[in-house]
Amino acid sequence: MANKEILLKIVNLKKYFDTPYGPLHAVDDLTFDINKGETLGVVGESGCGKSTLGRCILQLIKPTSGEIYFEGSDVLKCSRPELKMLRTKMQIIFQDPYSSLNPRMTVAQAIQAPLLLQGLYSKHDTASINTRVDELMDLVGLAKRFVNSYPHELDGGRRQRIGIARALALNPKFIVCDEPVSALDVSIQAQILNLMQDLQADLGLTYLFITHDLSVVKHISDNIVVMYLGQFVERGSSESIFRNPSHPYTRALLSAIPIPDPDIRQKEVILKGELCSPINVGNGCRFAKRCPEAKDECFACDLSVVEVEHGHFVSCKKFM
Amino acid sequence: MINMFSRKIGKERLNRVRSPLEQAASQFKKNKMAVIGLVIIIVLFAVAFFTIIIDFVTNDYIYNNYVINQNLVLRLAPPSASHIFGCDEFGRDLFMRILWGTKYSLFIGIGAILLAMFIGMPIGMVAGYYGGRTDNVIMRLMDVILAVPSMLLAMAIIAALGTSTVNLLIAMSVANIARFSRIARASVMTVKDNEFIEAARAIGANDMEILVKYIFPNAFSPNLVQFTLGIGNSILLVAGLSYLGLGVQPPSPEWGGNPYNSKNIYEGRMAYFSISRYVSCYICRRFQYAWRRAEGCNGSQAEKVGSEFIV
Amino acid sequence: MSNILDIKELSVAYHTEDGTVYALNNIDLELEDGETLGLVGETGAGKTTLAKSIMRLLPVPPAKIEYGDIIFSGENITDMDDEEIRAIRGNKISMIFQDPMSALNPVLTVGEQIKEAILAHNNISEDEAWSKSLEMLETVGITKNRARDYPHQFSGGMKQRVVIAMALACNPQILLADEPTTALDVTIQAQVLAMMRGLKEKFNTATILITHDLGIVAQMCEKVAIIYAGEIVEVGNVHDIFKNTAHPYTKGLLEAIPSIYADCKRLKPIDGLMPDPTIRHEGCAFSERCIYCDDICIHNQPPAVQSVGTDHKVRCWKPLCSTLS
Repeated sequence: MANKEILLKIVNLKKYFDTPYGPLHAVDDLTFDINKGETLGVVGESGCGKSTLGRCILQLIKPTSGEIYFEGSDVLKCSRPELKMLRTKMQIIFQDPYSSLNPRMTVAQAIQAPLLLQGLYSKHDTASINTRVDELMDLVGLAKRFVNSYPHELDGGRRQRIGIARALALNPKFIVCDEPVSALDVSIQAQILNLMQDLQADLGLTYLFITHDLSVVKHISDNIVVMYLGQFVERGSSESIFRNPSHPYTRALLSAIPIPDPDIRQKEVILKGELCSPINVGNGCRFAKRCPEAKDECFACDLSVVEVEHGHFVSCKKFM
Repeated sequence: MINMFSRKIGKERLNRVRSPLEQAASQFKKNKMAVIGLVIIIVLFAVAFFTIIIDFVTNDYIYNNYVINQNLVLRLAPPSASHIFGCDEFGRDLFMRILWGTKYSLFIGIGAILLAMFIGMPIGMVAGYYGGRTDNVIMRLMDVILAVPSMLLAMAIIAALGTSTVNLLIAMSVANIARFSRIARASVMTVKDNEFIEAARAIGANDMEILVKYIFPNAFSPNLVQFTLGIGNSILLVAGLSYLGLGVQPPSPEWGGNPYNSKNIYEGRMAYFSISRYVSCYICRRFQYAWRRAEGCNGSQAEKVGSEFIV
Repeated sequence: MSNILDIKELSVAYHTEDGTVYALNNIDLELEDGETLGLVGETGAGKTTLAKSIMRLLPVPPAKIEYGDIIFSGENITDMDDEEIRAIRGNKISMIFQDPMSALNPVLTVGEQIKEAILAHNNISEDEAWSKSLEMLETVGITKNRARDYPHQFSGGMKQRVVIAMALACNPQILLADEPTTALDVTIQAQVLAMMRGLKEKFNTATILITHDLGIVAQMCEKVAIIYAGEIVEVGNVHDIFKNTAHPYTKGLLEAIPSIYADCKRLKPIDGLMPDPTIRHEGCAFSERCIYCDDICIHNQPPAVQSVGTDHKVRCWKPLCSTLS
């Protein structure tokens, strides 16, 4: 790929939470970058740290260490006014369309809130604000008649559209999508995914798409990062990961998806055991306890990253 | 096949722009007891305002001649045509005293609670929002206040500051400040972890904006319940303090002050302000119920509001 | 094989202050002994209402069974009084709910909770009940020494196993599973589903598996019923539903799922939303969203389910596959 501009670069990002039982390793030493106009899918199950990662990038949570470069400059070092400016370029869409909207604000108020907060429009400029709100509602496919409705009067799909319109209000370049379709029905999921793809094409957006659903991530991502208990496990283009899933965890994830075809019987790569706690983890591979191919050395030393194909990286002793 | 209420297909539900207030109002209207309660409250307020206006217009003429004027001939007179409720031990018409006493109980009672809410709520919100040490320090201070029974606390404050209306207001609000702060803190803590607060941060809102525009409107309901319940308790507290001679001073016809010297004879009168206190609490609660219904809770959830916050 | 459950023309409505919600309209469903029936539908279709009606767990002042019969093992349970229905609940018909986090009592150990379920319907001693409880835990893959642990000490997947153990403790004839794995991670879901397949072989319990995930249905069920806007629009064996789809809604659902095997760049959603359940429709409930919709569909209710194959029924004016010759 010639000259793809890197929009976001994460270097050795770590986030540890302090608990009475020891440090909780939510995100452990993650490094990747996202090119402009592309979608990076972050896949993993609950407790793998993907939501924490998204929030660290947006500085809703302060990372413990590491660097985040957005358009070349380190965002962790910027001042408060610079951070507020940065918010116009980086936005987030949340998972739960019910709790991510203020129940006291109408659709119009929710969408214009970022415009007023950032001072892009003054409170008295109602005509331009209304035009902009109408524009955004059109963009996301919300009918005009809902402009004064409250969130509780609308269904999940429509509420998620409000969330998307709110995220787009400031014309951001980069959007973190934290499981935006997980809470929606299948037919509505498809509508919202199509909408997000259209918006990406029309507005040149870059997405960090966080999900646990591999079928959704294949559909929407150009590149994929697989995480397990805060650690990076596998990374590569969407096509190469699905064609050649290398890490045992990725293979287990893929085989665990129930196939919607009664004639094909599920492969029985059933993982043993449960996720272990991310508190006080030792060195070595955190997946080793459940790995069907684990050896003694997997528990002991730190992992290093191996490139199995061009652009396709795996963090597993098997390939060393 | 049952065929009830069939309507034409494709008829869309009208998108009536109903704000929570409009929805609460329509719920309210459906509840007969709430409406009756509202009427009683309006009557009480009307009486209070009426008496104030009369005093202003007639330059205290009626007040001086009918309410505080002593006529020992009529001492303890039974109810009659000219004195509907009879007279007290100083020969003063009780009915007029009760009418003129309305404004003290109502306004001092409500005023004290309002003052407590305006001071206690921000304290509780700050404690709940920031958590950690700030929360600890603030809440331990509030614990100290709550450790003393409110009546005794009020009495101690009045003893220290002296008897006047302002001091009375201060004394009565102190205990309630602690109650409001606890409730505000709890409701802020439930709201602040919602994603829409994070969303507000993501669009660039600072702490003050989040507290005022996002958290306050969503966390206000339990405080409203405490407010309505507190009015009733407050009115009783005023009456109690006046009964002990620490509240509104005689000859002012405050409801509690009336039986000050005649405790044994007038015990039956107590029922009057107990009933009105109950009624005022009730209609405020119905309004609260209607508000919660408008927010989208179903009936049983809306009923539960406030019950866990009754201190 | 006889039908263990027969639902005939069941109609349930919720009478609320804001209007009447017609949750279920004329549901006809049959469940054979030992069969696993998948009930597929989206949010608001009426799946949970149907499950709760069978268990008679609906809150009766707003909800009301307006019409219809539920016949369990030959007995009509629709009008049974509280005592009789309590003898059936947990004992002959069991239910597992979606959220394992809130389904367990946090102040009792898991062994105790299963023991309670057993003692409620069996006249045996506490010790016997306790040992049965330990047996059930082993059956669902939890070691005996965890019986004295509290629910918060278990992960989501293990909690769901405990819930399943409770449901199967009295060896019921029917198990209603309301989205049992929706709240679980995909690898844990695979474990739980594998366990449920094993249990099915061991106990031969007839199961109604409620889900919106067609993948789970394909792997776990023999028969499938699709529910839309309170009506069963298609029912048949799993092969027919996936390969000889008759109803446009089922077809739409199958095409809307993103698949890791297909290579399409754009999904095919079903436009529009489920209709307002407070409004009774003149014609077919799906007509607004159906791409094959015709005049007859808008103005006339489709005929009661018609057969398009062996045990394959559909409620549609223009079924996608015609009657087999």
